[in-house]
Amino acid sequence: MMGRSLNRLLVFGILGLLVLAPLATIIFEALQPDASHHHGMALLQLGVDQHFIHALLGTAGMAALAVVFALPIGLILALLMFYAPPKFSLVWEGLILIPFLIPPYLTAEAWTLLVGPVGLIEQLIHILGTPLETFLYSLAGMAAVMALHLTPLVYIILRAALQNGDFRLIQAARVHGAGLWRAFRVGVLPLVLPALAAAGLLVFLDTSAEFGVPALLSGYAGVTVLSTSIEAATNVWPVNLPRASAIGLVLCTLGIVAWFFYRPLANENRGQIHQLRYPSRWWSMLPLAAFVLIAMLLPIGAVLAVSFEKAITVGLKFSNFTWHHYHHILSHQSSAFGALETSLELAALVAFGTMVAALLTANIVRRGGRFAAFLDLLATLPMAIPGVVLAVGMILFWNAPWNHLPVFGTTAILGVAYATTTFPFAMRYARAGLAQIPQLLDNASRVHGSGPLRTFMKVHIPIAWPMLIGGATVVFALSMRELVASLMLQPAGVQVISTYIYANFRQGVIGDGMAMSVIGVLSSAFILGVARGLLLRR
Amino acid sequence: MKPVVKQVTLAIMSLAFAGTASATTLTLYSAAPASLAKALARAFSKKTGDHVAVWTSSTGKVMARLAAEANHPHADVVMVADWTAGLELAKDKMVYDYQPESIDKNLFPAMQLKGPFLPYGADTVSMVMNTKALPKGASMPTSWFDLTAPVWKNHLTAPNPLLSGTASDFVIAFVDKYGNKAWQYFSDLKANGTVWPGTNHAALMPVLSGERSGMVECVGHAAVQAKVQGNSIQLIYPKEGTMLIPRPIMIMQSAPDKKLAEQFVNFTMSPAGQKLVAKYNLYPSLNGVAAKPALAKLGTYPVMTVNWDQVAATRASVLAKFRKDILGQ
Repeated sequence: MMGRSLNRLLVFGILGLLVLAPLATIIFEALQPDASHHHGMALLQLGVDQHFIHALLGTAGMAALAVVFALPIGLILALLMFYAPPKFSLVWEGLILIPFLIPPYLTAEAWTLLVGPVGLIEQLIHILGTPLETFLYSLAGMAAVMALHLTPLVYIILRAALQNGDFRLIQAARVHGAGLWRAFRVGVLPLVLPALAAAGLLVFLDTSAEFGVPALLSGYAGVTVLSTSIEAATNVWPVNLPRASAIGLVLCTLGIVAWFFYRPLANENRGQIHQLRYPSRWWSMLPLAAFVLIAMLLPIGAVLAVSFEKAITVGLKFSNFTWHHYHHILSHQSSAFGALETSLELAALVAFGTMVAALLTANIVRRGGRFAAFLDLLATLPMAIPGVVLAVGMILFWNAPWNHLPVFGTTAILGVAYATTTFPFAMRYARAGLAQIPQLLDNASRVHGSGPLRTFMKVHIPIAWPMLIGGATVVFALSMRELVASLMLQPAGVQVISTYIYANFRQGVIGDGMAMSVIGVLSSAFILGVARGLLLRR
Repeated sequence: MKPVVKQVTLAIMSLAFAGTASATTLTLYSAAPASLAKALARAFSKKTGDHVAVWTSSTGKVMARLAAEANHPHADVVMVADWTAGLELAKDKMVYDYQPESIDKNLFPAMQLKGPFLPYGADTVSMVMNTKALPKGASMPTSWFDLTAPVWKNHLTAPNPLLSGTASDFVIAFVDKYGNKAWQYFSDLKANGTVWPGTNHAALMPVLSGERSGMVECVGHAAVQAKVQGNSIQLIYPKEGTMLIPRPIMIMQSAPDKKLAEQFVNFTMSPAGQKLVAKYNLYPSLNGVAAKPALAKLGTYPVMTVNWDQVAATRASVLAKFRKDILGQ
């Protein structure tokens, strides 16, 4: 009994600090009385603030356009891979998923290097540079970058829905003389509609919360969005924290509403898996290859090419080739090397700590009850909270006059921020891990005299181990790429990979940043591979 | 499996403690050029053995961070890009008075300024054009006010004065000099399609790539660096005068170890420190240390006279108006 209440206390403390505290301080700050002693003025003023309305429309427009771009492409990819798979379909599936692993700010940077009158595309084929540039620096361009990043997610969700659907319906429709389109409408569309809605909401949620892409592109596009307005009100003198909090609340509400509708639609892939495979078709390769080219090969190619160039405007010539950027990053003295080390250490630490915390939480949640449901809600809530809002909450809470804990202004604050943003993912894996444990084993262990702690360590953890490692790798990868909270919270003398890449790009030191991107991606992939290999060997 | 878990746990714990253990270090907040702040920190550490933790951003963000951390200050020494930002901090009683006569008397006469801090260097704000990307029929401008002509429509960028320190001093001093004409100028620029995408580098990038032809109010060190790298860039010093902006180095009132902070300032103002200032394309303030040859010699182009103490009082109101009326934030 002692153990259980300790577990509860610990979990509540952790979630309270990670999730509740920043949210509560934001609400409190937004409702602060203004100079005329009226409460909530910052929030009310937004209603008549033309600039806020513009930013709100910008965010809504960008998110809606991203949905418009990502859903049809994701659907086409899923239909092709299911009904007309190409040869080596597993390889193709891997290629389709890779764009999701590239952080969106990097995709945006890569595309700014690709387009333009002296961009890489113009250098290679001497056309398209300028029209593509006009498109990239627009609301639709920002949405397209997000759509490239999120289409793999849409694909996964729709593919699972198709897999779980009853494939005989479409055959029945065809047998009864329906044309291809009609058969699709009656036999397939109803099956994937809930999945389409879920995917659309997820794309909307992620895009409206995004900071990096609009931070890089919106200045040239003449568009403002909420996430960058919040950052500006917090980080640019003169600071207006009540305004930042009020806009933050609006953005947060947008996210939570989308998430509220998304939650019941998101069913994990637990339906029957058909062994049925449609015969492969060679022509389905063409659209798939087009997607892979635009979403993966071009951006990665741009990053790689520029990481080996002396001057970016000179172009792809042998005389312009250099190892210098890599040399600089891997030399022990450089700030780049420090950033790499900090990122790797932080991500490892957070992966371990967050998985432990999520395991403790999942241990309570799996027993059920109202308290458990509340904890589950709290633990998954960060999915709906944009990183920029979370960062503002963290500043307000950890930097408050009464808060003397040495967290703000130290590297620890980054760990806290990463732990919060990755908690829902850790939680999902921890729950899945514990769900595999039959109640029988619990009982057996208890009957033979083991206490709850011993049962937990000796029975639960060994069984849940692969899922826990899976969760830790996801948390590690997400921590390595986090941008906005790192930018807003990083203390003096500390940089991480994402802020190094971002800051260098903004300062025009592009080659070093691109070399860092390559090294960052490769080193995290390498470490994840080794960790999984070692830890999962049984 | 077990020993691995143990090792991982140990490794993680040692990392955690390594992260929290902090030696006595000096914390420096600095505006661009970030490379100068890092170079000064490195050279100082090498000389004295004391560690310097550096955080660099743009002036607007340095100022915001100082304000946000007023309750729990972290910075010991602050270097920003505009003089009025320093005066603003001094007005808020955040600056520890350090302007020793022994250093001040050796500065260039133009750098001997009143204030509780020293100028570690100076930089210009002028116009910049990409000579290969001029619009058809355009000739090189000679006046700030040439840039509102229709021929420049959608061809110009400018740095955001809320972020860039030098741009903020430019806007404040320009408004002080021209009053309503200055505000008209900024709205004309906006109506003419000028964009304010962010810091000086963010504004300069489209000019280097040829997407835009020129930049209003470009900070000198960024332009000179781009020129030295081989870009087709020309600095233009307008006939009304270029803005020459001194850059303050300040010790914070909250710095626990004032002696260490003074040592750092002394080092920055020494010939060794000033040579680094010159290396990163700023005008050094110490008499006898030469600026890079790539920088036009002071005195060869007209400079606007500015009474910094007078214009500093309008800093907050001018920037607030600019944010609202021109940037629409």
